[in-house]
Amino acid sequence: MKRLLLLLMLLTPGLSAAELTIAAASSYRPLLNHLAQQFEQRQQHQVRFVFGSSGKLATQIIRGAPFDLIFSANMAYLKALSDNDLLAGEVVTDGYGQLVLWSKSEAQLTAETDLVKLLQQQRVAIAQPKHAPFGQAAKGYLEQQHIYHQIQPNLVYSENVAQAVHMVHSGAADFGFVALSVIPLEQQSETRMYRIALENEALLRQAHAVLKSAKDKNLANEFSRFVQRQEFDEVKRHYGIEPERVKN
Amino acid sequence: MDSSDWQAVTLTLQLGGYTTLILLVIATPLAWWLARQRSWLSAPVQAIVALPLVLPPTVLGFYLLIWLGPEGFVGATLESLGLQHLAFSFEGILIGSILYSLPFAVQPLTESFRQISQGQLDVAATLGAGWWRRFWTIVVPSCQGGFLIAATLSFAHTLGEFGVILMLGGSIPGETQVLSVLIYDHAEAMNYQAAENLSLGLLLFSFVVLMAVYTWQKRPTGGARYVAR
Repeated sequence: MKRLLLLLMLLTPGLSAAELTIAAASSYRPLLNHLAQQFEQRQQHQVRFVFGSSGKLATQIIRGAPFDLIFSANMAYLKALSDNDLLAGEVVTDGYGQLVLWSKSEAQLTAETDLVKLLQQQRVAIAQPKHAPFGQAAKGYLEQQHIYHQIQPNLVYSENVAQAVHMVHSGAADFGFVALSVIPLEQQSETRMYRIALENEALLRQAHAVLKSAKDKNLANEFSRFVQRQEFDEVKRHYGIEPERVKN
Repeated sequence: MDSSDWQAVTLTLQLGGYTTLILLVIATPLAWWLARQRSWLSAPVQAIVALPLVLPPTVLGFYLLIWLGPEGFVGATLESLGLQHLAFSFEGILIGSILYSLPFAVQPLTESFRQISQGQLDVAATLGAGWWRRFWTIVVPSCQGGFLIAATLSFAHTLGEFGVILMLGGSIPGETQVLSVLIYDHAEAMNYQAAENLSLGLLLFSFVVLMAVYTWQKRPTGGARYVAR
């Protein structure tokens, strides 16, 4: 028994060296992993991430999760946090996400493609619209095209957009309404995807904010300013998030 | 395996270890009471202990998240004392694990406590042995199989825990991201190789632990010697 206790004490890690804990929408994962690596190299601070759907992360923050920053794929959740008086600073827009219809195999997808015919008898992955912004955007698009009810029986729901990509990638689903930013770079071939132009682009406005629960607000603000640097515009575009300043 | 994987391994072993130790302390008197006393309270207590067996982990996780969080009665009380609430913390998932594995500790112990004859205990008592001595010289040696099974099942069940931890702890590396949650995260990030390595490791480890128990159990005198020291 004593030996066991001793072993446990030895195992107790000097809790991870991370100084920043960041909650981020799944659509941010590849981009933020890249940026955090840069940040860690240049500023010598450790960053750790918790990825999930924007809605789930916002709920966790309302329930007391100890995060320093949130990166959300939808403004509505940042608004909810702001209404709960949980944000410490301004909401900063990082860019706009791109919704795509992604196919597991080669497919010539154009604006003329008849989606109802294409997706008939196929399994189509979509992030849960109740709490995942890309799922909401996809559902909104299908409704606007008046084909949601025809396609709905084929939909399979994932907890967040990264899981929808994973479903297509693993072959479990034939198609997926996903974020361009989560598709592995080597698989972003134009012959396998169709970029969906949304009427209301603000739907997928990707933005972040420092949280009141941040342990070190200066460091959190430093990370926020770091990702806003113009030098990363190209990186953002590379990972499928269109920076805002280019649009203006 | 990179450093974050090892971090999750350590965290998982810690969670399993602490859960098992605390459970043995809590479950022993509880199981003793259930095995030896007849009371109108026995049935409801037994039902409560067995609840985690039938409830979806999400139900337990949901209630704990509400109660231990900043607005729940436990979390709010802690905060009013100047302490941290327990949602999304290691202490929080430890409480979750203890409740979730409670039946796996209580039930084997109850079974083995029922086997002890009252006569033996009474004889020891008339020879002047106090309850503490009776416990260590009679109950522990004759129920070591029960203790071993309770400890192993609690530990193994904690390794396999997923739903409660995901709901109550989120997936914070180094704090609440245990192996099962990390594997889920790796799969989501399409790090299939990493997910595969960890899954295989967990599979082999669980198998070895269970096999060790069943092998040890077959040796009737092996444990008696150990405890007699």
